Amino acid sequence: MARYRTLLRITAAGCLAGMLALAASTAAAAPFAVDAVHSTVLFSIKHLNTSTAWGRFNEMSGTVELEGDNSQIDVQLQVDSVDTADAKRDQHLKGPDFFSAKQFPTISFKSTKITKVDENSYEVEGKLTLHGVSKPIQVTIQTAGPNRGLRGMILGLDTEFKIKRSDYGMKFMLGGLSDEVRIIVSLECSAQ
Amino acid sequence: MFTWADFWGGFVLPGMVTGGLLLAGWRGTRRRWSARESRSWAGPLAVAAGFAAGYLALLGWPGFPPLDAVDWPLFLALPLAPLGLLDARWRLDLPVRVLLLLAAVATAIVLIAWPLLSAEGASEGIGWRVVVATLVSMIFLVPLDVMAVRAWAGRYAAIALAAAAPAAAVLMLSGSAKLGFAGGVLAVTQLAAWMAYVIQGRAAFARGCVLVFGTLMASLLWSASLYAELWTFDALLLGLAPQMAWLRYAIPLRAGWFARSIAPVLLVLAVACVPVVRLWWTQPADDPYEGYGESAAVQIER
Repeated sequence: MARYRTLLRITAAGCLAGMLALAASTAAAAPFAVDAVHSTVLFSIKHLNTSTAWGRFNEMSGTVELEGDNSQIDVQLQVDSVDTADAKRDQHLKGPDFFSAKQFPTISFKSTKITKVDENSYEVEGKLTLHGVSKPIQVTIQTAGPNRGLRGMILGLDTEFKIKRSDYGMKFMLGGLSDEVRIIVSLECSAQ
Repeated sequence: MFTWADFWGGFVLPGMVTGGLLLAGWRGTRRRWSARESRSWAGPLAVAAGFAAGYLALLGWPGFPPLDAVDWPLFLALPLAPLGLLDARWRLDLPVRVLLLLAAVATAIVLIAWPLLSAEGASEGIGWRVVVATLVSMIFLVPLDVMAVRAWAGRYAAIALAAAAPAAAVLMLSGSAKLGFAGGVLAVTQLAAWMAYVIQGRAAFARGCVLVFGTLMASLLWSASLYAELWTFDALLLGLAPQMAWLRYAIPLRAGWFARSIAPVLLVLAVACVPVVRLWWTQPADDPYEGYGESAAVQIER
């Protein structure tokens, strides 16, 4: 009798593990929504070719789907949420000298091709639209998960790349603030 | 950060272009035509070319059509010049001048507001703002145009300069150095025009200049109102400032040269400086942690 119980337990545990694995793989294929609270988009720029000034965008939204035929990454940032820890500088950044937030209220990235490199990294080609100008870019993203979070499956994405702001028509004060901008993105996405 | 290159491009170049064209236009015709014909008709062209030269030197070529709506004043400057020259050369009647001014101002205001007017889900409010901005600009610019025709050109240029220089500071303090630089270039053209008019003396002639100067100033203020943080109240004060010069006609002739010529210009300057002072005093602190430190200290005391 005891042998049957042990067998039953092993079978139940096996089923549970199988179900969890299935849930995890399904979750990876299902679309994930960007969780703005646990995501970070940072940018840095050289000030007077000396120090590095940092800023971030606090409001963002989007969806991520990495597996299957419909794989795509679609992320939008609200320009008005730019935050550099200085109200006066934030106001200047939102104005017509830089982002012109009233004319161009969002920054967006939409993937056009996603290629899996290995278990946790992907090559992503897509269009970055900034300051009303769309340019193709290619980035490598590292993924973590999907893992079980408090409210379901969560997936992490990390990437880092550089752009030239002049390519996007942001040419003001190129002498004082570098043309090259480093962007660091860390997204936490929740299964929808 | 203002460099020597900015000084040459944004101050010396527009000044030289404006002053040079005004003097060259006058000298080129005064020997051939009568005194009436040889007046310094080149004002609108000089102001427009000076503004365009300074803008390009300071801010660079923005591409056409401009990506940023605030760059439209550069492209408005040169088409405005021939319109102004029509008045300078053929002395148009007031109704025709008003119609030309209305066409120029309305075009400028619509072009600058176009990204917001054409945006998905654009509110009706922006359409009404365009209409009100056009009408208010006309209320301020028509009397200025009448003044430019009636007064000695040097006095008109001094009044325009007294309004434009503080306006540049207001634009700068309203969250856009770019618009502030453009306003500064426009003020420099008025300074150069005033100097050229002083040299020309009685031949100085400012017909058609308001069409260029007024439309450009309205465009810059409208741009800052839409895309930067310029308060409507500040923009209205800047529009009202040149009207102070009309008080000259309320001052009796016996009051003397200073009271009738200098005091009205100083009054224009004083009114135009009100928003500069207001903005200067209400700027946020440079130190982002200043307020934090104060509140922490207050908390400790409590």
